[in-house]
Parts: sequence; structure tokens; C-alpha cells
Amino acid sequence: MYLYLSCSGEGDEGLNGKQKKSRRLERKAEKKPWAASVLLALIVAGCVCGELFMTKDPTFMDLANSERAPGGEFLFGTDTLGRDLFSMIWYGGRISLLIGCISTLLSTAIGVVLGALCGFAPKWLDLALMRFVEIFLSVPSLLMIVFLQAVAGEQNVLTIAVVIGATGWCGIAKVVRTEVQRLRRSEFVIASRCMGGGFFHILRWHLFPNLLASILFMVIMNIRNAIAAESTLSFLGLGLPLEIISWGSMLSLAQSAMFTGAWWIVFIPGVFLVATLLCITKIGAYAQDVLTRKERNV
Amino acid sequence: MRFVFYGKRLLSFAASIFILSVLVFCIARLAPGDPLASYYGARVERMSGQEREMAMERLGLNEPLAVQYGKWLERAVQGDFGISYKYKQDVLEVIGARVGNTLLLGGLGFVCLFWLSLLLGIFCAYCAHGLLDRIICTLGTAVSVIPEFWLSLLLIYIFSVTLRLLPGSGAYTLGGGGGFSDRLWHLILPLCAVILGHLWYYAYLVRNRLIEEMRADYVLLARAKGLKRRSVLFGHCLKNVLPTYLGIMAISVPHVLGGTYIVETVFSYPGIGTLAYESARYKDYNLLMVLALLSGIIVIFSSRLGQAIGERFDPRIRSRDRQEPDRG
Amino acid sequence: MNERLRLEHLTVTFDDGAHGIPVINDVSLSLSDGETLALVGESGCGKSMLCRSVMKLLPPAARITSGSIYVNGADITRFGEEKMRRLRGSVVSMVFQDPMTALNPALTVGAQIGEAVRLHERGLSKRDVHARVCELMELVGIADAKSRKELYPYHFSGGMRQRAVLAIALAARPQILLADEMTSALDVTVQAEMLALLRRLQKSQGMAILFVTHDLRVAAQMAKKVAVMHAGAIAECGRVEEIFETPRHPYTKKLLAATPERLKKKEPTASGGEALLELSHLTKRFSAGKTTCVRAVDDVSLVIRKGELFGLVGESGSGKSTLARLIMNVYRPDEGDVRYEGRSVFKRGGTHAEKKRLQALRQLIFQDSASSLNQRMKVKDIIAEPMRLHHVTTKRGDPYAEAAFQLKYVGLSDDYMERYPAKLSGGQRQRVAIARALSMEPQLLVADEPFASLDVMTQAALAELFMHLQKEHGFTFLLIAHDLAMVRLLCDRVGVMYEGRLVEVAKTGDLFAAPKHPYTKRLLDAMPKPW
Repeated sequence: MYLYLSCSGEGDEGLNGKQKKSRRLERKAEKKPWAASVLLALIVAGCVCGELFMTKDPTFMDLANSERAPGGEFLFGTDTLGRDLFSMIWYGGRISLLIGCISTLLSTAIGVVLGALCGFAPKWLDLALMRFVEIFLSVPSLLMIVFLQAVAGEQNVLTIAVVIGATGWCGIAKVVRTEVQRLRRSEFVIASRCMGGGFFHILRWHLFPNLLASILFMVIMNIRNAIAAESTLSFLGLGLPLEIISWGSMLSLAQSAMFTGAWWIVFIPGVFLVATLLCITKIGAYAQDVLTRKERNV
Repeated sequence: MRFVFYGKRLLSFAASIFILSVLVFCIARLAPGDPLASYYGARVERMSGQEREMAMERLGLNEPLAVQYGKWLERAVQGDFGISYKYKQDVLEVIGARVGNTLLLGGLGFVCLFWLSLLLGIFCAYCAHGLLDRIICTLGTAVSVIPEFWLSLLLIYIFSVTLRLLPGSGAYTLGGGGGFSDRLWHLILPLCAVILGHLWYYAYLVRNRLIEEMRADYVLLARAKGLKRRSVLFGHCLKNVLPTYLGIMAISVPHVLGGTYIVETVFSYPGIGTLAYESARYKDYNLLMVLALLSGIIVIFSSRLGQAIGERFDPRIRSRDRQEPDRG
Repeated sequence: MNERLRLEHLTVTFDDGAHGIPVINDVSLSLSDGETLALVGESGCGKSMLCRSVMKLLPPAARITSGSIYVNGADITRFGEEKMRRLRGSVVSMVFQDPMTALNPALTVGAQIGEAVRLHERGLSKRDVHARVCELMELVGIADAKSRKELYPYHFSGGMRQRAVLAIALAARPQILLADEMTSALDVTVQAEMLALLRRLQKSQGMAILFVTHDLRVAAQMAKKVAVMHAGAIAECGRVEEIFETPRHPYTKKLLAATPERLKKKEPTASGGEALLELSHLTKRFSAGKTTCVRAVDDVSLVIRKGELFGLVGESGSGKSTLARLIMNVYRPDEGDVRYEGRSVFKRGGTHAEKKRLQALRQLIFQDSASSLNQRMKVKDIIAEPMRLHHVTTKRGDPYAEAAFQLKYVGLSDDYMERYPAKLSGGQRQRVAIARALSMEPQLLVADEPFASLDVMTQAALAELFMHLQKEHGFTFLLIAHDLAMVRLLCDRVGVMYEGRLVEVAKTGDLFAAPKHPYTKRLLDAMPKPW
């Protein structure tokens, strides 16, 4: 009786005792971010279907009712120009989220392409590109965004999204580069080459699936950073103008509002902003946890 | 031997600054608006067509980009960075008056951040997964996602407007003041904003690295020797995490600097952050360009410095200079 | 003779949330002064947990739920952390398996040994500590202690690091030493030195040693008493001769039957077949640093004939893996040539299709099965990959059907097709790698240390699979291994590599009976002898 046939079932489900134990322990740490996902889903749904429950026209400037405290007709109060905050939140949230998504798409695309280029490039090209990235990164990102936006001239959703996207690719590029370099040297890629695998075969079967996993966390964080950047820019008055409503442009009136005691103008958009950012962060952290745990299991 | 080593470093530093200036210059030249304005200020409006032609000739504004850059570089090396459109003064003068304030706020913020996040990270790793750790983690995550400007607004609202404890703007009290304690008093809130904006990010990094380090095999050996848990954390794990931490802090400079700029604008603190904001608002591209260049120089300088310090203290690199690996 | 350590009905459980899983189940042992007890078992049976329980350094989720551990008569299960800390290092010491990670890379070796000295002997001056550190280093055989103690672990080889770990363990003159797979990660010759050192130290210091290992032959060399552990419980315990010659427990019988010496030997293949693979004067250099250049493979010439199982042995750094990769076309040689069926592999001017075909005829099985399989591909895709690459229509039509067939052939059932490598054990992963290699019906199979990190019984199963493949299908094998017993069992001819050079090649029987080269002699002498 050949031993090899009888030995196929080593331990239950092919795991020895030690592996099963560590798997069980790590399952304990896996806490799905239910609260964060639900909250985020609610906010996004609210922004997308805002028209269904907005009480007033968010762009209408009712100067007679400017700086009214929350309550009654105006659920969240009104801002300095008399616009209803409640409606503005849902209407403006759309813009903020949209800018977040567009700029992340752009930064991911640039990051992946450049990172892959560096990963495959000969040493001198890799060093040169990395040096360039380091120099590009040396200007604080917000200053660079301000600079580029000033140069772009026009202040609208598209230009801001493009400018933020054009400055946010560095993190993803670095991760992609490291991953590509590591994967090229990994044994399963060598095994594939031994089998006769060409460049595109390895790209599709071995590099892409592993890459997606490692950049997922960064992409989620990029969305968060883009939303934060847009709000900062609009707050400073260098992003979206007052007429285009986003959470950031709503906050641009906040500074003067503080001194007139209209706290709701400062707090309410800020709370929504922070809540959204927090939910995205929690989801991103969960994603990273799941992915790194998967790798540690082997 | 040493001179060659430092010489190479210096050369690399200079090269990086050079490339940065090219990058920044090219971006600035893409700006719409009248380029002459950055050199002649308001007089541009009063210049005749012929004078404009001559000025463009002299400044080489009709020539290809590379030549323009060459001329700019020539003037820059002599200290002439052009004129600020808004302030009608030499750019270097305008910056010079304010850069000290930023370096004070930013520098102090960085130093405090360095030590506070290290200590907080170590503390969290010490009580890892305990109740205190979980509370701090939740609080920390919540604070770290708050955008700096909103954090500053919050601080001003609570401490300045409502409680009337601390000043909410400026670097010193107008008309009198300027003394050391007065400046310090005005620094407290902006400093808190700068530190709080980044504290948890780095503390969390330290905490996670330490916790991971504590799972290493050598930790088991150290405990098998009879060491206390605390001694293992400080004497062993920390030593392995420090080089990484130094590296991370060296990379953190642009983020801290950027955060300082934002905090300055909210607090109306007279530093180069507010200057950058104003130059963007008033389309003073020349000033903005020089500010971008200056920020880049500060960052590259600190990162190279951090690298050099890290290498001095990393035992692996230090001993590699001394001996070849042993074949026992 | 004093009894130093006694375990009575010890049970340790892992907290699962719901119920605990017993990692150690009702274990009783005893150990006296000057005595060595070998603890044998496969991975996951709980041997390491046992050592950690004695030190009370269990992972946070594990607890001692019942039973007692008596150290010098006192039950330490009742001891608090502070009391236990004073015992560690001074009464009970432990040495670990992996020397590469056991030492802190950020502290000098001398500092780490010195720390152990200072912990248990208060009030020593700096000079005294230094002197004691040098004394300890010389005791464990690290020459030139004065200058070596200022070095970092990075500079030490595996064997030297293990000696340093031993020095740390012996710093406070412990009465009990727990050696947890101390030599498992070391080369054969280094292992032999370490075992001799340990025996010498025991004679001079008189400690009680609990020697944990998975290698029965090493156990027989080190101890007179042996305990066999399985699934957390002691299957059998007694004198070495009794256990190994007349085993009573079924697990012990299975374990013994799986050692290479006891396995059914293969019928030797008829020699003199035509040459399949010819290596002539192969050289590959790697640059280490700016000036130094290492010859990983140095002027190697070899002929492998069709249908034979050729074994290549050597220690780490001998160049075996580099040679395998040269044969597989992963590296280009700096000098020399590889000819396959008469045709040169590296010369230009073959068509692309020809080259691809050549690739398919040779397949490589890696040492580390975990990293040679893409974690994000399912098993069925992994096995079907080479078929997909070469666009072959297989005997069973669809690539997945072929994959299922190959999987069954190596002894894994169909339901492994949809799994990911992370869910498989080491042995199963290795089988998947073999199935992948077989799916192309290669002529030459190069296996680079396939037995490393596998359990004894899994190794035996794999060895039988290899023998079956060669007998039934006439595959030619190049087996690279450091386990000489396995090589002796499986191979027709053996080549010995040392520092990049091929120092001896001979028929298996001839090589083991009468080795010619001094290095071969050293290697064979260092082999742990069966009892």
C-alpha cells in the first residue's frame, strides 16, 4: 500500500493543530466595520437622493433669514447668505464625494502606471524616477495643490479634482513599485518563467491580483485625503467658489461666523465632513487588516 | 575619504534643489496673467507698448523656456527673485520678514511632535489591547481624521471665543507685546493645532511597529533570560524600532510644514503660510513660486539631515563600515 | 541523582472563545541531573508548547488548566510572574530553533550575553562582566571572543549564532536546559559539532537536558531516554533501544516506519542510459559588494542519464540551488554550457517555439512550497497554468480535467481544486507543486530541497511518490537535498558540492561505502547514525 496515497489527509482540512489555532485567534480580531459602513452608506445615499427630502432650494439666498439658528423651518439653520444648511449639506456632499472619487481615479491611474514603470525599469531609470518623486514630494502637498490650482486659473469641480489627483499619486506609486519589484523576484513568478511564461502572462495572472490587494488600502485612504484636501482648499477660498456648494465652501464662511456666534455654520458641515472621513478610514483600516492577515497565514 | 563622502552628499543636495527650481519655474510660467507684473508691479499698467516690448526683451520673456530659466537662475543666484505683486517689495524681503515665524511654529511643532508621538506610541504598546489602549486608539483615530483647518477653528472657538482663555490670532498682541512670554502665549493654540493634527498618525505607527516587534523571536529569548516585560520593551524592541522611526519622521517634514501653513492661515499668524495663501488669492505667482521653492528646500534639507543622523545611529550600517561578515 | 524537573498530568489549553483546545494533554515526564531526555514528535504535536510551559512563557491565549510542573520540588504552576522571572535563566534555560531570529539585530552579541550575566549576578563590575562574557563565549566554542563580542549578529553565521544563544542560556549556570529543535535549522556538519558541544557541556556542568527534536536519529545520538509525543500527549516513553527496536504504540510504529532507513528501498535503475542533460564547465558569479565576487557555481561538469535519479548534496552556500536555476534557464551562466538531449540550451538561434518546448520538458520544484505557489490563485489554476501557457490539448481534454487527474495522481482529492494555497499544509502544497510540474509530462524533474520543512511522515510519502514516478513513468530526476539518508534511499548516483565545486560523483552505494574526497568523508561522518 503506497504511503503517499494514504497520507493525503494530514490533519483535519489539511491543517495541522498549530495552524488551526492561529487561524482561530486571528478570527477574533476581525471586527467588520458595520457601524461605519452603514453610516457611510446613509450619508452617500442622502447626498445622491438629496432632492427627495431637501426642504428648500440650497442655492437660494434668502438674505432676510441669514444666520438663523437651527430649528423650525431651517433644520440646520442658515448661513451668512441665508441659504438653508440642511439642503446644502446633502447637495454639497455630492460635490465633495464626487471630487474625492474623480481625483482618486486619476491618482490611482498615474500611481499604478508610474509605479509599474519603476518596478520593471532598469536600475538607473528606477533611481532617476524615484529621485524625481522625492523632489516632487518635497513641496508640501497642499502648497502644490494651491500652486497648481492658481496656475490653472479656473475654479471648478473638474480642475480641482484634476489638481488634487495630480498630486496624490506618490503613495500608490511607491507601493506599486515595491510590490512589483518584490513580485518579480518571488518564486512563483520564477516558476512561471520556468514554465515558459511571458511578460503579459505573468502580468495578468501573477502581478495584477497581488497588486490589487496591496493598493486597495491606499486607494481608500486617497479618497479620504482628496475629500479633506478639497474641503481645505475651498475653506481657504482657493478651491470651489461660494456659488458652487460643497462642504468645504460652506465652511469658508465659518471663520467670520464664529465671531457672530453662529456656531452651526462651523459645526454642522464639519461634523458631516469628519463623520464621512472617519467612516472611510475605518473601512480602509479593516481592508488592510484583512489583507495583511491573509498574507501572514502562510 | 570623509570629504568625498560629504562632497557627494552636498552635490546631490544641490542637484535636487536645481531640479526642484526647474519644476517650480515651469509650473509658474504656465500661469495666466501678465508675467511682467511680477517684475514691475503696478507700473506695468502705466507702461507704453514700446516700453513693454523692451522690458520683455530684457527679461527674455519672448524666448524659449530654457533660456528664460537660465536668465532667472542668473538673477536668482545674485539674490534677485523679483518683486511681489501684492506687497510691491522685493520677494526676498517679504519672505524674510515672515519666515522666522513659520520656522518657530513649525520647528517647535516638529520637535514636540517627535517626542510626544514616540512617548504616546510606547505607552500604547505597553498597554496593548488593554482598555486604556483601546480608548486612546479610538480617540486618536477620531482626532486624526479631522482636517487641520477645522481643528484650528474648533480650538479657536472653544478656547478663544467661548472660554476667552487664549488668543485666537496673530503672533503677538498688537501695539505693545512682542516679548518672549507674549509670543509664547500666542503660540500655544496654533502649536496645539499643528501637533494634534499629526500626533496620532505617528503614535499609531510607533505603537504598531512596537507590537509587531514584540512578536519577534528574540523577545522570547530575552524573556527566557529572565528579563522583565518592561525591560524587553525599552531595552530591546525600542532599539529596533528607532531607526525606522527616525526615517519616518524625516519623511514627515512636508506634512508637518503643510499643516503649519494651514494653521497659520486660520490663526492669521504672520508666517509664510499666510503669505502663500495671500499670494494665491492675489495671483502673485512669482511669490508663490519662490515660496514653493523655499518649502521644498526646507524639506529636502531636513530629510537629508535626518538620513545622515539615521545612518550614524543605525548599528547595522555603522558596523558594516568596520568589518566584513564573519564566516564562522 | 537529583530529580530536577517533573511534569504530572500537565494539560495546557488554547482559548478558543467557546471551548479550549488542549495543546498538551495529560503529559507526565521526569528529568534528573546529568540526564538527557529526548522528546520526539512531528510539528504541531506540542513539543515547543511544552518547553514554553515549563518556562511559563505561553502565548496570551494559552493557559495551564490542570496538572503540575515541579522544578526542584516546587510546583511552579502556582508561581507568580516575579517568582518565575527569577527562575528563568538561573534554574531553567531555553535554546530555540531558529538562530537567525533568536538574537536582537540591534545589539552586539557581547551586550546580549552580558545582559544575561548581569541579570543573575548582581554587583559585578563592568570588567567582571566582560571577563565572564569572554569565558562563556570560549566555553561554547566561539574563538577570538574578545573582538567577536563587539560584533552584531549580522556578522555571525547560523552555527555561531546558535552558539551565542547557548552562551546566553548557560550564563547563569542553569540546572535544566530545554533545547527546542536546537539543531534543526543547521547544516549537517555544524549540527554534529553542536551536538558534540552539548554533550561535552553536559558532562562538565551536569545539567538536565530536555532535547526536543523531530529527527529520530539525532534523538538516538543525544539521549538514553526518549519520549514520543503525538497530538499533545505522550504516546510512549522509555529507553532508546526499547522504543526504537520494539515500539508498542501504533504512532511510534508509524513514525519509525517512515524514517528513510526503514523505507522500502528502490530497485536501482539500469545504468548506462543515454545522456539527457550535460553540464560542461558551468560557472556563475555573483557580485557581493563593490570589489568581492562570489563564485556560486565554479566549473561544474556533470552528465545526467535518462531515467536515473541523481542526487546532489551539499550544505548551505554550496551552490546547489544556483545550479538548479542555471539548468532551468533562470540564470545565464558566465562560462560553460548546458546541453539538453545534445542541443545547447543557451545558444541563440532556436525558434521561439523550440525554446518554449524546451522549457516545458524540464520542470522545477522549489524548496519553499509556500512561496512557489501564487497565494491568490486557486489550486486548479495553479496546476492548469503550464498547460495554458503552452496551449496544449491534453489527454483529458480540458485543462481543469487534467488538473483534477494530476491532483488525484499525487494523492489529493478533487475538492482541493477550489482551495487557495494558504489553506493547505506544507506537504499538500508540495504535492500541488509536483502536480503542476507533472501536468506538462516533463522528461526532467529538478527538485530543489523538496523535503525541507516537511514532517517525517510527509517526507516518506513524498519519497515514495518520487520512486513511483520514476518507476512507472521513467522520469529523470535531479534531487537536491541536504538529508543524506533520503539521498541514499532514493538516488542512483550522487554528486557532492562544496563551495560551488563538484567535488565527487559516484554511484550511491560506492559513495556511502568508500568516499574519496575529504569533504565527503566529513559529511558522512557528521551524519547522525541510526541507533
